[in-house]
Amino acid sequence: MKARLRLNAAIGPACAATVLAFAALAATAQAATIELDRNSLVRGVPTQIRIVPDSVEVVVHEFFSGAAGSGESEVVRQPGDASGWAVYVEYFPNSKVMRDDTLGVTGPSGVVTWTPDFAGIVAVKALHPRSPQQGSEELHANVSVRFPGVPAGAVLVFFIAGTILLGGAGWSLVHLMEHAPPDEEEGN
Amino acid sequence: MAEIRSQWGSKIGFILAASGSAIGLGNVVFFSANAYKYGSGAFYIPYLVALVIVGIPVMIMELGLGTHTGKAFPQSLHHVAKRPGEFIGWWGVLNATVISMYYVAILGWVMGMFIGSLKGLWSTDVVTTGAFGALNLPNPFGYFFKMLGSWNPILYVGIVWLLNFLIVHRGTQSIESATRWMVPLMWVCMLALIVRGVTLPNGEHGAYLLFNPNTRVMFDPEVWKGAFSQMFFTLSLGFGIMTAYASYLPKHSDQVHNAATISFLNCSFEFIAGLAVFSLLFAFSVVPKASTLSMMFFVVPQGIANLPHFVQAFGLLFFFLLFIAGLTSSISLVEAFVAALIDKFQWPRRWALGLVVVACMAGSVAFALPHVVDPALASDGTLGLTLLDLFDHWAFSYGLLITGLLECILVGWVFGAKRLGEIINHDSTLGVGWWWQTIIRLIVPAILVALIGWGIWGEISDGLYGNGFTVQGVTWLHWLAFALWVLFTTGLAFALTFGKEYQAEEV
Repeated sequence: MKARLRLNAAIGPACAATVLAFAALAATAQAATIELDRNSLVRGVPTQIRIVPDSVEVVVHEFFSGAAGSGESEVVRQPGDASGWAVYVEYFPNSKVMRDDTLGVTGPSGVVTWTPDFAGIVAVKALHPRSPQQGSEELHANVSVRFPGVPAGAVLVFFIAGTILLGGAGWSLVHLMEHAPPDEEEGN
Repeated sequence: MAEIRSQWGSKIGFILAASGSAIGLGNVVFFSANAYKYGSGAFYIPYLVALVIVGIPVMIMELGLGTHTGKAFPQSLHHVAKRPGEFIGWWGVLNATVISMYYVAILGWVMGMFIGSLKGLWSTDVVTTGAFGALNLPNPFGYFFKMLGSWNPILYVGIVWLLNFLIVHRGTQSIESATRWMVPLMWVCMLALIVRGVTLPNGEHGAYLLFNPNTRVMFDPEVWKGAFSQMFFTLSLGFGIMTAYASYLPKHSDQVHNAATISFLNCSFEFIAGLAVFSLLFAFSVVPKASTLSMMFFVVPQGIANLPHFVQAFGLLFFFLLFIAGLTSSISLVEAFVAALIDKFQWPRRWALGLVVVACMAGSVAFALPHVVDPALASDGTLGLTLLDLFDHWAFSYGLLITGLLECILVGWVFGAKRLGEIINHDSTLGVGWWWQTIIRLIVPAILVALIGWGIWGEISDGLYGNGFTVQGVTWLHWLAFALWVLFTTGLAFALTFGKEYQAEEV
C-alpha cells in the first residue's frame, strides 16, 4: 500500500536558522479498504461495493539548530482518491469452475454496483494503476453471497449422496452383523 | 520361533480398525475442498461412480486376498504370482512406509497445533517469526511457522512414534483396543463440529455451496480423474493395509459386506465432514483450498479463530479430531510393514516393530528437521515442506496407483478373478459375479493406466515434478527426491524379495 505523504513543514520565525539535521516522520498508514454490506449479499440482489481510500496520519518532527534548539511536531491527515479503481469479482476462487466478472471503474464516490450472479464465497478485488514507478495497487476482500432460497439442486445432491453413503454404511453393517457365512448357517 | 498369528476379537473390532485406517487427515479436510474444486455437488456423481466401480470392488479384492492367504501383502501376492508378485507387494508396502514417515511428521505438527491451542495459537496478536526472514504473521500462520522453526516438532514426532509403538505392539489385540474408542470418538468430535458449523449465521449456506451442482465441469476429464484418484487414496487401496488387516480375519469372513461397510463408512465420514468445514468457511468467507496441509493448518483454523465463542475449545476439538484420525491411519501403515516382516523373517513382533519404528522415526525426523536447522525457512517453501511435497508426489500419487494396477493385473489375469471371486462367494451372503471379474480384469486397470499415463505425460510435458522448486539455490532437489524414492522402494523391495525364501506357504 503506497501512502501518499504530505509533509507540511511549517517553518516559523526560527527558520532563519539552518535546519540542522532532518525531519523525522512517524507515519501510520490506513490502508484503502473495500466495504460492502455483508448482510445484504444475496445472489441476484444488487449491492454496492465502496472503495474507502487510504488516509495517512503523518507526525512531522522538526529539529532546528540555533539558539532555540527546540522541535515542533504536527499531525497531518490526507485522504486518498477513491476514483480510478477497477473493481472485479472472482466467483468460486481456487476451483475449476472459477469465473470472474469485471464490475467497472470507480468514480469520485468510490462506489460500483454489483449484482452477484452466483452464490458462494466470492473474492472481491480492486486494482488501481499507479504511476510506473509506484506500480499498481490491489485491494482484496472475501465475501459470502447467500442463496436466495433453499437451492433444490443442492438438497437433491445432499439427499441422494447421503442416502447412498450413510444408508449404504448402515445397510452393509447390519447385514454384516446379522448374517453368518453360509458354512456357519449350515452348521459346518 | 514363529508367533501364532493373532485374530481380530470381533467383526466390529475389525470394521473399526479398518475404517479407522481409511479415515485419515484427508477425510476431515481434503475431500470437501477437493469437491469444491471440481464443481461442488457435480463432483458427487463421478465420486459415487468411482466408489461403485473402483472403491468397493478393489476393496473386496484386497480383503479377499488377505483372508484367503492369511498373510500380509507381499506373501499374499507371492501366493498369486511367486516372486514377481512378492516384489510388487513389498514395493507397495515400502511406498506406504515412505508415506508413514512424512505422515507422522505432519501428525507431529498437528500435535503442536493442539498444544498451541492451549497457549497462544488463537491470540489475535501478530507473531514475529524467523520464517522467510523475520516476518510478522497473523495467527494461525504465525504460530505454525514459529513452531516449525523450533525443536518442538522433533519431540512431537518422537511422541507420535511412541504412541504407534504402544498401539501396534500387541498386534490386533492392542490395535482393536485403541480403535474401539478412537474411531467412535472421531465421529462424536465431527458431529460436534457439524452442529457448531451449521448453527453459525449463514452456516447452512455453506452446505448449500458444497452440494449445489455446477454441471459445467461434468465433461471435464480432470474432474473424473480427480474423483477416481480421490477414491483410491481415501480408501487406502494399493498400500497393502487392507490385505494385512484382513489376514487377521477368520477364513470364513463375509468380504463383500466387510468391503462395503468399510468403504461406505469412510465415504460417509468425509461426506459429513464437508458439512462442518463448509459451514464454517462460508460463515466467515474463508476460501477453501484443495490441499490437506493448507486446509488443516491455515484455512479451517482461520474459520475457527473467527468463532464468536469457545474458540479455544473448538480449536482443541478440531486438532484432537485430526490427531486421532491421523493416528488410526498411521498405525495401519506401520502394521502393514510389520506384518509383512513377520511373515517373511518369522521375527518376534517386538523386534519387527522396533526396527520399523526406529527406521521410520529417522525418516520422520528428516522431514521435520530441516525446519529446525533452518529456522528462517529461507526458501520458496522451506526444505522440509518441499521434501514432503516431493516424496508425497511420488509415493502417494504414483506408488499407490502403480501397485493397484499391478495387483489387479496379477489377481485378475494370473491368479484369476473368477477363482478369487469363487473363494469370496463361498463365505459371503452377497456374491460377486461376472461384473466384479470384469471390473478387476479390465475396468480398474484401464482407469489406472489412464491416471498413471496422465501423470507421466505431465512429467514429460512440464518437466519432472518439482522442477520449479528452489531451495537455497539447489536446483536438483527434485531429481534427488525422485532417485531416493526409486532407490528406497525398488532397491529394498528387491532385497526383501530375493534375500530370503518364505519358510512355508500354507494356504
